[in-house]
Amino acid sequence: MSSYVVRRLFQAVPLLLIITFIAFGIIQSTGDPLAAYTVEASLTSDDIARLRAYYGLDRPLPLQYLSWLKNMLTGNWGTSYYTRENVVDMVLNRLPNTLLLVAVSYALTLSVAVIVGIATAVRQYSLFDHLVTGLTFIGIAIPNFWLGLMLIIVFSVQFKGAGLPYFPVGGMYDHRVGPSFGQFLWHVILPAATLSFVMTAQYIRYIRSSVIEQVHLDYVRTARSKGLTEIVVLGRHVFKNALLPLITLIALDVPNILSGTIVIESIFAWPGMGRLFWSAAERTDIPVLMATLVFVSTVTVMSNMLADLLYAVVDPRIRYT
Amino acid sequence: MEIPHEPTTSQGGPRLESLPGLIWRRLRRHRLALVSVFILAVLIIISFGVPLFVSEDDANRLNLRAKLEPPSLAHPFGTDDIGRDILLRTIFGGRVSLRIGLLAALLSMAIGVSIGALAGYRGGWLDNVLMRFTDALLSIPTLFILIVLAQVFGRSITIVTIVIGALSWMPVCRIVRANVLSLKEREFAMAARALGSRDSRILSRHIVPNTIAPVVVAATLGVGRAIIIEASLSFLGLGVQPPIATWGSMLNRAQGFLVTAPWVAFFPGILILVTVLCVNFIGDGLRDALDPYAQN
Repeated sequence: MSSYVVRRLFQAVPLLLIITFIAFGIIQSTGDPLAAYTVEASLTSDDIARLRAYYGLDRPLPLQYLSWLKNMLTGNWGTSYYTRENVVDMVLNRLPNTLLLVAVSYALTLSVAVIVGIATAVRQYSLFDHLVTGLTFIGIAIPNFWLGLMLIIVFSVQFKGAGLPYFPVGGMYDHRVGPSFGQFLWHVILPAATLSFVMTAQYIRYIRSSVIEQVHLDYVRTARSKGLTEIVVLGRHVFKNALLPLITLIALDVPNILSGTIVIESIFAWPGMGRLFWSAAERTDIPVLMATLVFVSTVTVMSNMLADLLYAVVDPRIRYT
Repeated sequence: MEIPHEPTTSQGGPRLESLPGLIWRRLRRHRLALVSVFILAVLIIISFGVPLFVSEDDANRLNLRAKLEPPSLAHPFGTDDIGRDILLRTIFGGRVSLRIGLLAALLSMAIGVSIGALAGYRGGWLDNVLMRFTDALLSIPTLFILIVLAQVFGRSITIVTIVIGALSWMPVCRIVRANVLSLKEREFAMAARALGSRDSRILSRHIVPNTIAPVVVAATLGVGRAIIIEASLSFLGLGVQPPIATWGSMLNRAQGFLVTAPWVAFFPGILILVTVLCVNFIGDGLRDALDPYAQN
């Protein structure tokens, strides 16, 4: 097992190297970083040459890549073109907010998908099943930003107009009240619901077919014939076997949900990493863009690795040597 | 229960049916897919037909006396914040969105098939390098790298199409590679090799045609994905540059008027939903129709 862990860790290294290589390639194609200064009259060509030497821009590309990589590894990710802030600090400041949003979304997705997925599998071809299946088709095809706008129109605008309690449309808490857990919950519901809708639809379909596959197996018949109640059969036996592969599914969805945070955070003014990335893109703030890109990719690689390891731990049928 | 009737020739023996004929016959039984083909055809005809008779200037013409009007006979979808007709803009936006979706999916299919076939057929270090590259691209969250590339290379329709296509070929590549790996060991491939065919001919005439069915399904579903990705990009204000209308950029603008004019946000979104829904149903239908193990 431990040799598998080590091997799996080493597999991630070339992957991360290729990702940094792609990122560096993109930075290179943004053009000469000093281009803006060459037209500025206050700088002579001597100054430009000195700047070039100072930033190491006169060295060959492979060397530039290596020094860039060394900077990334030592946590020296540069400063924003606009705020002059350290890029690592900027990303780390915003990260907890994004993680909170993602965690709530995953919790929402899993709790809804497991209950509804099992319920539709047990009542296969019932009206409820057909209704949910129809909804999942819509869920998979709906653009999440449009769903967000529609939720705002209904639950914020219309509810407010009708004098009902309404959901806030932006931020993490009301600035007049200040941060508190209740405020956070109140503000996180709409963005988390939007972010998890597409995922929930996919998971319901997956769990439904997975449970349907399991309930016809011998061990389920054995469990039933020894007199276990349906709740125990489903909750104890089927649940475990049908939901194991969910670990992989969750890990594979990490890049999708991270992509989703860009859109959702920009609609709901959620002060997270996605919104940081979006505003950096609007201003072509390359250091922030690249740092976030490398960061989210690393998170994705790590989560895939973690899923593989977790799977090996929880599924005794899998033996890694 | 319906009794399947065997198509027969006048001689009475079983008739050999052409492949497109077989696929079409099977697809016809998939009612949702059939309805989707019809709806999508109507959407394509309107999106590409209307611009033949109306100039794009009409879609971009402002009318400050008709700002944010609710849907009416004169403007069935209402007007936006500078008095442009939303129906016309939705049609012109549809032309851009559909074109980007279709072309990006085609491009991703071409790249995916080429790289996957090459990696699977050649094997060895080339396979290793290509597949690690594929893994790396799959590990970068799509929207992040798309936004960076659109910022770096520009935001014309062509570039957005190429960028989306160049970043969504990985699933197709994996399917093709896996199939080629097993197909190249089969008897027909060995026979072709024994007859002295060149590798390129074996690949293009014998192996790739045998793996095209799952590719067609993946590419069809890819059209829907590409449309949503383009719309997300435009919605964030980072896609195709205004004043060119796309469904996403219309929704971006609509954000400011959710309280006063919700219809501005409704119509472009519902069209994205309907289009992607249709594409997905067609993909599902094709999956069943192209399944070689399906019973007739």
